[in-house]
Amino acid sequence: MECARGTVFSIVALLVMAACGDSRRPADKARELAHVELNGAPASLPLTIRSSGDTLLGFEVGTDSATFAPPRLLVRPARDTMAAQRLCGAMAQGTARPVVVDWGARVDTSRPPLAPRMIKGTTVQGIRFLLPGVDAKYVFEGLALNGQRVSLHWPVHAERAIPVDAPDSVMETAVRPSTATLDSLIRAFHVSGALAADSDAPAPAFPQPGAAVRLDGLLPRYDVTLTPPCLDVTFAVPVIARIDSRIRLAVPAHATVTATASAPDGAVRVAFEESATTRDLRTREAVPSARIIAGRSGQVTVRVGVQVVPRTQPTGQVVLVRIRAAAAGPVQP
Amino acid sequence: MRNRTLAAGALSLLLAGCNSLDVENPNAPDASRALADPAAIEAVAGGTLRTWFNTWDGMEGGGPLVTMAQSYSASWNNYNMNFYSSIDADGTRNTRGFKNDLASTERTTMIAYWQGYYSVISSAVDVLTAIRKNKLVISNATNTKRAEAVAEFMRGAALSGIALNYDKGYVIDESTDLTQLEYKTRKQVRDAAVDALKKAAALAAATPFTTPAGWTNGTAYTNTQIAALANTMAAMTLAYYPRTDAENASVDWAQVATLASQGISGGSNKFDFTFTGDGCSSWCHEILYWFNAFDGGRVSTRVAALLDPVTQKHPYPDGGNRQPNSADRRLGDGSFGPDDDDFAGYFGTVPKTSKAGSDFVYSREEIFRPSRGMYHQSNIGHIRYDRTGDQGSNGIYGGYGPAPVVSRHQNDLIWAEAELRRSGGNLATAANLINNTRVERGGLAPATSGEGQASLLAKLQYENEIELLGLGPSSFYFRRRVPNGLLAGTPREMPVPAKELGVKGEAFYSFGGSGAPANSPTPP
Repeated sequence: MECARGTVFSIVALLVMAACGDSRRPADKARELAHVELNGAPASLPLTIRSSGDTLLGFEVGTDSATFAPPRLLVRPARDTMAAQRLCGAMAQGTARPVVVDWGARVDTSRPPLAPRMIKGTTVQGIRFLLPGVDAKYVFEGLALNGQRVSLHWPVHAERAIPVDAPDSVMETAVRPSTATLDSLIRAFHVSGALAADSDAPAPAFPQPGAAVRLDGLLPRYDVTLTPPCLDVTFAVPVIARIDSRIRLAVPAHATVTATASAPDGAVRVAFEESATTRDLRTREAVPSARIIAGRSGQVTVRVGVQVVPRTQPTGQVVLVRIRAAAAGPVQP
Repeated sequence: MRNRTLAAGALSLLLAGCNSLDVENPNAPDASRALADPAAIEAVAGGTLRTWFNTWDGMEGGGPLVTMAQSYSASWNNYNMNFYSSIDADGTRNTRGFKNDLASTERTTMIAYWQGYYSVISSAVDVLTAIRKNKLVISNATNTKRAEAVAEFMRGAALSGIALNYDKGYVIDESTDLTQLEYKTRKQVRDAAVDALKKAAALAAATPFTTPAGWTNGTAYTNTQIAALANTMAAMTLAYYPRTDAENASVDWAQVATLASQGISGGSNKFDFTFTGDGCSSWCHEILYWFNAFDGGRVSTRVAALLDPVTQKHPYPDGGNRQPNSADRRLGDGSFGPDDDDFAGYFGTVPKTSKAGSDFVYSREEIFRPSRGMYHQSNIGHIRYDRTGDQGSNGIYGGYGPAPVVSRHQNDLIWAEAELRRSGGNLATAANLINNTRVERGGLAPATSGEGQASLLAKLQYENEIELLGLGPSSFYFRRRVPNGLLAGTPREMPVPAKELGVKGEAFYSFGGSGAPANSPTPP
């Protein structure tokens, strides 16, 4: 079955700040120019695309007011690096569980995020979910390959009553526009353009609690995939003293991978299982960082453990582990 | 400006058909993601032993169990021992079921074994995947077989841990799709554990090898010893599995007898499964660290009264119990340590005499907080594994030195029970096995086949009470199979931890207390 395909729109966009009352200088705005293409908008969406030279990108539908605020689509530099790292952490472990990220107007996280799913397009990937309520929304939070944050909020309504315990598939097909349609809109985005550095200040090496996403799973064995732009993630790993947790990483081939960890009350130890060097485990000694160059397969395994002083330090702890992969070649937007 | 507005209805169906609802799963299993480095695989194989040891002997899971069993006694808040082992005013534990919800601090008890044993399984399966599916060779065929055998052994031992402690779990091997995990009943997990252990025994028996001493931090094991260990653990899995005395009657005791006879006390080379502590940095006999240090943990007065019913009363009486004078050499007169005022003053001991016990010590000191209930107190401590003889910090008191985690005497007692309970069992064999500890260690009058099954079972129970102390949570698995072995309201198994239930969106549940059954129904 051949899909209906729309005409390619090529739009130079200045986003977010215009709708949110941006007061920055034109030079700052110029730095944030992103090139956003829409390669085949879903034909079922009653979409009006507004562009005015290089000033604004907007999606509007017939019910929108002249200025839809907040805008349905936001593409902007990831200024809140902690939020971007949390988003990367969620994407890297493949969980569709939404993490707390910022929108231009803050997402109401008191409402349960429903029907979460990872969405991967050519240059944009992230997490989408449905927020129920009177002003129900389809929410997508993601990152473009060039590191820019991409956010899509789209009002939805249900064509029929949805039971409280309905499975995701029922919710996804009951809302209008359907999630499949909006998912395909995400996949139709192509965001490119060089991303200017937001600051010359070096990022702190050690894991930051605000950047951490808890590693969740049925088993204490975690599979994580680091792909551009998410090559720097921080996880909160539940660990029991003297019982290591393992994080199996998939990184770009030949990437240099570093793991840095901190524990609240004990001696943390990180190591790569593939590393040729081994450390004597008999001493109580912190080994808070390790580094390895991944092989052609890009597979490495981080082992995270904590040593505690019995009766003094707690056995169960949450260790923060920051993992960074420096790709061997340039990132292709 | 282009304006594209189309009717939603028909075209939305078209587009829905073109836009697949399937999203690539980043966690899709990929055989090539298995470790591919031989040295790394071998290290992971050896590491499974350390992880299993620290789990089996860990206090986070075991501390509540051995105190709930009234084998050891401690009312410290550490590891939730105070909450789970205390007794309500009505003599029950009806307010002390397992707290399996995300808001309770006491939920950590359910997490430790789950996380620890599945860490073992995760590593073991990576090794087995590399060797069996990816055909990895570790330096030579012998070392490859060694890694495979040890990985299978530990996979079985860890599955055993899940089966003994939880009402259900996952059975995972190198062919399991981890994105499609489904619960198996505790019986299915038990059977999978026994199968894996038998497989490990066969693998080990077929290829001569010796494990590096570093894999247990001090003791090397030959392939025949690994095979014997796997057989003992298989016997333990079957024998310790029952949650109640009623389930105990359904054990395949004939199989237990066969396995135990091929275990670590079955041949001429009897041995213990020993690990060496390093001060609890990376290797920790945590249960012994707490309960072979008698200024921190004690033997329950229930067990003390069995050793010397004349001097040791249960429950703990006002003013405490006086110095023992037991016929059992393992207690004797309870004297211990040097004739030193400072030592005796701090520990409350009587300096060591010729009648000192090999396993137990008498102390006048009441070490637990009275406000938490004087019934927690006891004058008898456990010092069997203190090789220093004076609670030296360079011994088990400080977390150092070798100690067994599964003992040849334990295998004897499992074997003896199997002979007593199986159809056509050999009472003479059972009596001899009981006497290995009753006579040789305890100096008591020997058991004989002529006294009959009931009397031998009573003597067996007594030996279990003493010999299983400190061997991980073994004493709990024994007590829950004894009629009235646990106080009413005491949970007999653990639920799947709340965090894991939350990941799957499943309802929380638990065991124990007045609001929930003590254990799950017997699986068919």
